[in-house]
Amino acid sequence: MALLEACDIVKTYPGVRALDYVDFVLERAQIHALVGMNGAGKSTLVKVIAGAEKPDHGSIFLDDQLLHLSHARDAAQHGIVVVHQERTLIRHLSVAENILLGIEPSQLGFINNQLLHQRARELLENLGIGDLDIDADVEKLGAGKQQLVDIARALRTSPKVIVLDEPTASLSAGETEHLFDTLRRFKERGVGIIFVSHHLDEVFEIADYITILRDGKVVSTGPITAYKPEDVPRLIVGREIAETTSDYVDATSGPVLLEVRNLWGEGFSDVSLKVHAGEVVGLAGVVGAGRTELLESLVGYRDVRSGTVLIKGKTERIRTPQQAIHNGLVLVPEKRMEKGLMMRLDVLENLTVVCLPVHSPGGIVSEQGLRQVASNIVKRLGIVTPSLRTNVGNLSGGNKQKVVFGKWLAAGEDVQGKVFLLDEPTEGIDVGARAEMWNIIRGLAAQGAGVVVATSDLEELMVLADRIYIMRAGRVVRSGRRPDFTQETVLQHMLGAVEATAAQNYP
Amino acid sequence: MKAEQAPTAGKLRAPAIDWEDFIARYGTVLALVAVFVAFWILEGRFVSGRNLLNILRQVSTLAVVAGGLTICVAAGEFDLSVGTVASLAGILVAGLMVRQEQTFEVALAIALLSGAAFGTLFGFIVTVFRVPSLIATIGGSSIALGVNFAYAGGDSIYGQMPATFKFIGQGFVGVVPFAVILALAILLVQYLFLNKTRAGRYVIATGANPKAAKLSGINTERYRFLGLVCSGFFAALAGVMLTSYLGSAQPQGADPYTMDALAAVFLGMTTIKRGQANILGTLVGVLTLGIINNGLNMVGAPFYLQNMVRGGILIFAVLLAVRREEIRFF
Repeated sequence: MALLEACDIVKTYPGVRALDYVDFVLERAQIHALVGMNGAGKSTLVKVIAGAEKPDHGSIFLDDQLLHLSHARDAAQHGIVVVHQERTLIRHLSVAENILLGIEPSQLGFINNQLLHQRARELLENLGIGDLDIDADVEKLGAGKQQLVDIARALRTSPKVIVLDEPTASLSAGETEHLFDTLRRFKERGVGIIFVSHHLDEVFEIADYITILRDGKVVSTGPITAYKPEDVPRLIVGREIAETTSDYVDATSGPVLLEVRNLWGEGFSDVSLKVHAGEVVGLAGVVGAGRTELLESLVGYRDVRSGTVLIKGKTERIRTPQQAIHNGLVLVPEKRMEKGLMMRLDVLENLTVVCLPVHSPGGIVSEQGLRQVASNIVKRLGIVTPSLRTNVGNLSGGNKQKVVFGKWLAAGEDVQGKVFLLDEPTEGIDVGARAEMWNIIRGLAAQGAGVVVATSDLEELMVLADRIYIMRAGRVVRSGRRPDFTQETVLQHMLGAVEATAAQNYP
Repeated sequence: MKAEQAPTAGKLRAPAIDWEDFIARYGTVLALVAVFVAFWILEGRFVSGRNLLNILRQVSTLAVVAGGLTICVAAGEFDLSVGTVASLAGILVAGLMVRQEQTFEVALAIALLSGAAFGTLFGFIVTVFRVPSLIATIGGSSIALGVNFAYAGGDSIYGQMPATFKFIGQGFVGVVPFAVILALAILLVQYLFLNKTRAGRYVIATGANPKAAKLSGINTERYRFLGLVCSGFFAALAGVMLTSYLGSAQPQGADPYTMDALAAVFLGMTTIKRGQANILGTLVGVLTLGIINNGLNMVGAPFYLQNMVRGGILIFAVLLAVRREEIRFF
């Protein structure tokens, strides 16, 4: 008799079937890894099991009893707890107060502090983290310890099923081991654990069973011993590993436009890379690998801790985006609605925000000049908009992205010697618009610009990049020319399958 | 309007009139007209040329404060000190002429500088020390009041003031009060600044999305700073205009401008350029408040009703904008 069984789960969002008749079985005393690309359906399945999303079809059984979950509370009442990726701690409260938040022992409405401490201590010792200072302000703890407190809170009731969504993202190696010890202890007590992770080395270290999701379907499931780590990436990506066969031309003959030496900052460590004129450099990695942090630090939007940045061979200290632009270094950020567009403003205003100084002699804006520039960009990039005065929020995703991109082209036709840093340039836009963006990006390189494309889309990486840097947990773990990689090998490095193999061979 | 409706990429289509959009955009203006007509029906004297000019004169000082505050809000900041900063300038300009026997020019310069100085102080506190402008300017408002009392002891200031000074608030050019001409000129300058200058565009970009503006290479701190300086400066000018009109300075005479100017700016954000503080919208807001004040007087409504109505308008304007997702707090 299985502990938890999800049968024929279907969940459709507007335009996408996130889960397509998924079956998922969790046994007692099992650590079950759930893996897949972004959008494969992992999060949706977890949400359905946790009661946060109602499936369109299908049923969930716990101990052979049909569950009716309409709220996350219902799942919790049945002993299904979820540890989310985001911290949910309350600042300025102590560890003990956070752990017992909402169920503080009290008399006549006054909290019994002694009992609170006692219970918190018992709980932590039970989890094998009794050395944590329960009086400490959680804010003063490191990210890893905070995560452990978060987990302790989730586990304060004796759960039957624990769901961990990317739990190790902010943990150091030692803290991860700590967490794994705790998980094993729960497993010994018969608890079932669902472990969602991008990191195959961890999956192969901790999990007993694995389920691989792709496009909302289960493509493979079985005991972990039946899999080789190097085979899993192929299953994750699936048939699409039809290798792209665009011709490779060595593009490193141009001058080096951007060189990064041993750069450290929040979210990335010891990164070194080079970008030549005429070259597209791919930056691969899973979400949280540190790509966004790196790119935003390069343009001075975030702080750099140490390291050297050379632009055209000259050391530059870039502290603000203005200095970056002055040095020919521009960023097209991820999350275009949040960081790229001024949503209340129209297409013209968004497109001309960068080139304004050129078209405002003496500080007075030349309306005609701006209109000219904007309509040129609209034509050049094929932006579909009813008019230049249309609110940019009304455009489709692909056209919004073209606007974010277009403002950098508006500053001048000449892109030679500039470096474009593109963070997920085609995320959330349709296939046609994606192909158009690719042409635009290749066009920039052809005109002598250096381009860095950070992407988790492997096809995009293989189509665009001349050279590839792969980041994992903040570090560049591999780099080389595109022909040296296949989608599969890139994915293996992104996910840490290489490390997983090593761990399997030398236990 | 959906992008799919546009036939071909890169081509611009002449926009047709979208009635839903038109109502949303000009609803506030239509409401202004409706209020105007309503008072006309209730009280025939309301539309006499004399009363209409009177309304314009009554709103001229508010228009100057609200115009300055518009620039501040466009940059994404609040200034809740405009009333007390205006009161301080009003006291200073009178006191300097009457008590210190300074010339009109010196008194005017110092009064205006006091407003700019407060704006600079707030700009510094907000952009360098990252104190939210809401807090900095509420605190600053109390400081301005304290300076006011320290200077004048909480008394009104009466006395001989030069004719040139009185002309600002009491003079006429033909039949038109000079204050109205001055306010229109100031609004024009503010409008041109926000819409036609590079700095003005940067102010708007910063207020629209500070992250995107920063990544686009705009020194967002500079323009937030500038917004706060503008609101302080124009508040001081309005304080001077008020003292000139009254012929004396009342210690807290301009304090209500904070509420009224905010109401006008938020009303303005529901029209013309929705979701953006804009000068034309603010003008609509100022006129709405002026017409309601004057109209309530004309029909003999009790004086306290004005306060209730103005407060209600501020809340309603923001409620409308939040409901239409034009403004978002928290």
